[in-house]
Amino acid sequence: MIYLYAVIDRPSAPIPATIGLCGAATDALQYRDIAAVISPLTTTQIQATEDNLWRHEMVLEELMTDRSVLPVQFGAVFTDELSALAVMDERYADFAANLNRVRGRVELGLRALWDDPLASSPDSQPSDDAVDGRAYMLDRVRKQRDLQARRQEAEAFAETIHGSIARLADESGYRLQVSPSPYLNGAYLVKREAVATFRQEVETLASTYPKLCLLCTGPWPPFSFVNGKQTEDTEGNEKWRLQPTGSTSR
Amino acid sequence: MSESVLREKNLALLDLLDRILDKGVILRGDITISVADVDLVYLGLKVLLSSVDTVERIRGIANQALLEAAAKG
Repeated sequence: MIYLYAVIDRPSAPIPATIGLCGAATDALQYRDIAAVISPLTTTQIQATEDNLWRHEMVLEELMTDRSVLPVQFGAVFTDELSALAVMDERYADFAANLNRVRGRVELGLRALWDDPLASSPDSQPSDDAVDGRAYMLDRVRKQRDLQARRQEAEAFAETIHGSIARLADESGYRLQVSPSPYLNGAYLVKREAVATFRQEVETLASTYPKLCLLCTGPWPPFSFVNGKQTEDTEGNEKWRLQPTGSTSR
Repeated sequence: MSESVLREKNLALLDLLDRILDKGVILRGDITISVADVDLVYLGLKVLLSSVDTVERIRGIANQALLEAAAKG
């Protein structure tokens, strides 16, 4: 049984000696000019505990230091090397293309929370007994308009925030949640040498908008940029938008 | 550990969960993993980060992804 962490390039260069899940040393399983990073498993009972999740992440971060890494979602377990190689064969073109896309780049995350001035406006509840149909409908219309206005305002501000840092990234995307309070969760694929500039820009944002609560995390392996998920996910009131930004993508 | 350091640490964990369970290359392995512990990690975070109202939503997305993966596998 083997656990698979990542797909990497430069298979001829030895991978850093790291301990993976269950205390087992990691190894590279080469296929053509790429490789899968694996470790043997003695149990099928791998669980998504905090420790195991960080262990998986640590293996990826060690690999990131000297090569391109496609992080694999937690929980890829194969019966043997042959079974893992079959997947490498099947998806080789996709993996090779993505390794090229993310080469020399890391992912940075940004969470931004801010106050929504319209949200705090008192909600004039019509009293239960004195409400006629017309007043009720007008009230419904007013609430709907308020929500619409809040959404537009949040979207405009999100574009401002996202736009000012997305220009430093080769690709980027974000989700926006409007209620109960506006919340932006963004991901940015940034060249290694641009990481410091990116962080600087986040600090500039923080000082420009003192009421904005910002948290920049990373560098992460490029989790958000390896599936080519260009779809717009409109679940509830959030959107996940990925788009190439900047002039030098690819 | 100060409260703010603890909070940052947990937000980093939230960012990790958001990525490691919901994003990344999806490989359909031969065996599926237990989803139960993910619930525990997210629930623990929900208690610690009660002001971050998105934990529940992200947990929902991650569980959905895992359940879909399990259904496919």
